[in-house]
Amino acid sequence: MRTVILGASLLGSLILESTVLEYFKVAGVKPDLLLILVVFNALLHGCYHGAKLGFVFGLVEDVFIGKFIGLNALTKMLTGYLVGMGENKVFKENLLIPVFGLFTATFLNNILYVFLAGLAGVERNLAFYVWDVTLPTALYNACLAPLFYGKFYHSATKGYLRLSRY
Amino acid sequence: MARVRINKSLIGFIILIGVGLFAVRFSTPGRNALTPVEIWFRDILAPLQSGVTTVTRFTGTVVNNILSFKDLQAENKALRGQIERLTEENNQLEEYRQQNLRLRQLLRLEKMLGSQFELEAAEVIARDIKNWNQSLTINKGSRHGLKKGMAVITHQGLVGRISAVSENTAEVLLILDRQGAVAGLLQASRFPGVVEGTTDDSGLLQMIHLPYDAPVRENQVVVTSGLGQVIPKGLRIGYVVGIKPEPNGLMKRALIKPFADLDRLEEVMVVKAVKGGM
Repeated sequence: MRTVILGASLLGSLILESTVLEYFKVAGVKPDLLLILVVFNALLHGCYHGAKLGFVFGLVEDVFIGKFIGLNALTKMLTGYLVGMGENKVFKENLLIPVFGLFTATFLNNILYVFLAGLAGVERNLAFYVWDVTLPTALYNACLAPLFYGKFYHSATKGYLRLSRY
Repeated sequence: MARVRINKSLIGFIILIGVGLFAVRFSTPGRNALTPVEIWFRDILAPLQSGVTTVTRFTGTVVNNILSFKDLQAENKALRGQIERLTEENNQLEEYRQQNLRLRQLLRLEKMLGSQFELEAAEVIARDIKNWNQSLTINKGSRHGLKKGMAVITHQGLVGRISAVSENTAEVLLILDRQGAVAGLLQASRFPGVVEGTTDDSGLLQMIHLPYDAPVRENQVVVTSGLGQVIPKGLRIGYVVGIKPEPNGLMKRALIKPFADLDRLEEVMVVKAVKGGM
């Protein structure tokens, strides 16, 4: 069931990002719904699951975008892994954790994106990417955290999104 | 054992990153075609995207309409007020334009006849309240030198003559009235006759008591003859539109359409005197 819900969330997020969210741009940016899901998942289930979900979500996103396949897979995987490292070190019930976590994770994810894109030979305007894309997206994602974290937390600990024991 | 597991994970991780970077490198926007997986994935999602976009646009339109309803109402009210004001203004301007045209025509008449007659411009301020009289009231009277019997004209032709005068107004008996008969003559043949109103409501005049062999033809112009010393000679009255024999067979009468539009008079000229006498 967890896989089905995550799969549906993945497709739903991709569709929303490519349609409805175009009308909800703030400061020229849309939220990164896939990253929000990856970060929540990593916060609640740790490095391994954070990295795994980040890789799958990122890869599907790359296939959907059709350019630089693997770039989002790697960045989301690394972000998921790094966020997951904090799983046992933070008080997950505190709402500030996902807010700050998402802000930091989005910032980190986008910086990694620029770095890896550079390694792959893709040129980016770093200043523009940091100030006009990364920062607003990080803020936007952080602002959305309180809206979804409660439900995700509940589902990931007691509902359909919890990990099976075996 | 733990070290071995960590090393294995690390190696897998590094390999994954390497493969990822390799994939990124070879999936730049410049490549020739999408892979079958990408094509399949895009085609699967396309109808869903289309549906969501349609619903989003529709919702956006509805929400916008609702949000802008109050503004539209206010704007509508303001625009209606503006339309009313502009219509009124436009109406006023049209009135001025029409008045300007009429006054220009009167001015032209004054220039044309000013050498022969002493003229006084006046405005029609009232119509006869009874149906059986054909008269109107103008805003000039004895204070302006008007007297009973003076001819009243427009640039089109004779209107009538003054039948009563107060200090500031004068009553004009129109030529359409049976009591407003004037002496006229056919301009071309100089044949004289009496021109008076008809008894019906046709708006026509008639030149009566013409001998059966009088040289009258349609479209001939009738002017005042000046006989009787009341109306000056040579003012245009109308033109012949028909000839009718009298029942006795000895006489006939000519039906005349007046030049002046007697139903829509607004400004007129009063002939106060003939320069150099009649």
